[in-house]
Amino acid sequence: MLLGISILFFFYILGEFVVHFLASPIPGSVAGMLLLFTFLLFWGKAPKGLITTSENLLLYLPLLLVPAGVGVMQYFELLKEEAIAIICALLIGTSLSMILIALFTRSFFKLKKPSRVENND
Amino acid sequence: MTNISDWVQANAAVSLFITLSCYYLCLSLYKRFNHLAILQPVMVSIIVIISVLTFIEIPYQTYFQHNYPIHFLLGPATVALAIPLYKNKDRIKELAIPLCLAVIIGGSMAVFISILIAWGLGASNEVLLSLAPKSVTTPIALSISDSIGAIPSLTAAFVLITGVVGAVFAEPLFRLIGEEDDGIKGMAIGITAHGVGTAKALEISPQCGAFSALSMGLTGAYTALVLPYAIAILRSQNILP
Repeated sequence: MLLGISILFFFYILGEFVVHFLASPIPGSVAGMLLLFTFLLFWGKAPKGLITTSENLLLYLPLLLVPAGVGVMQYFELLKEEAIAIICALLIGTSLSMILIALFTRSFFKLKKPSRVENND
Repeated sequence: MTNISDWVQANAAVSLFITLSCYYLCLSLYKRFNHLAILQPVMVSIIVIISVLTFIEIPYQTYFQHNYPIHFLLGPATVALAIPLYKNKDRIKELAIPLCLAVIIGGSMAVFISILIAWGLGASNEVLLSLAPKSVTTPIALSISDSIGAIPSLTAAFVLITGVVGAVFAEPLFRLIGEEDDGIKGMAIGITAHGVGTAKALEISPQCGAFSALSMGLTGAYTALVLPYAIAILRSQNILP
């Protein structure tokens, strides 16, 4: 548990550091995630403590989003003014993307090994 | 009412309790209704908490300050997303080319289509920027939003609604285009509707869920790597302020 949380914080800090040092607009936490992923690939195995800590933390990930999400209460005016654009972007945009991505992926999978997909799980 | 408000504002524990208890109740409600997408617990608890804060007259700044310990854990939790990706490393390797193509083209389309619609209907720059990361898993979307100078709270709302729309419409849309392959369904759901969609994909089948979770993680990483640079380029060309 302690080892796991220390590793997570280490890579979080490393990510923030790299991003800051390279003056990159990539979010530090995502850089940390990619660095940890790369590290694990090279290391070849993940410490058990890291896996349990991460999985327990991810179990509560939705809760961690709530405080930031409540902040939308400050923008009700803006939302009301641009309601139509926002609703259309969210409803039509999301549906249209989903259809196009499915059609695109389907055409691609037909070209490439379609049998491979069936075997998973 | 002001007395209660003053007292709450002096006690951080109350704000924390509001978050924890509301989320717990909304999560129970969601489970009770068999994971009905429209009752997405984060979205519903945000609505409930906003009502509570408005009723007892607590300004958001105070609430957020008190809840900072919860918010702070988002950083290490985002790093922890490396674990599910690592656990699927064999599947990623095996399907590297179709997965990457779907994520790169699909992830870009998801950003582009919504922005184009909102822009065509006259949305402001703040809203356009906040919409950009809407198909990405919420923790990554929040940090992208922050780093491109959008409004993270707006992004959070857009991301959640996108997820719910994706989860509710996925099956009818797939029926419309006659899609039957669970792998393809999973990829389309994961790329457009992130974690909320993945919950739905898991109900369709474990295979659909696995593909959705995988595409969700890769789309998050891809968007976080590319979108901030794309915005920076648009800014340097004076297309965006």
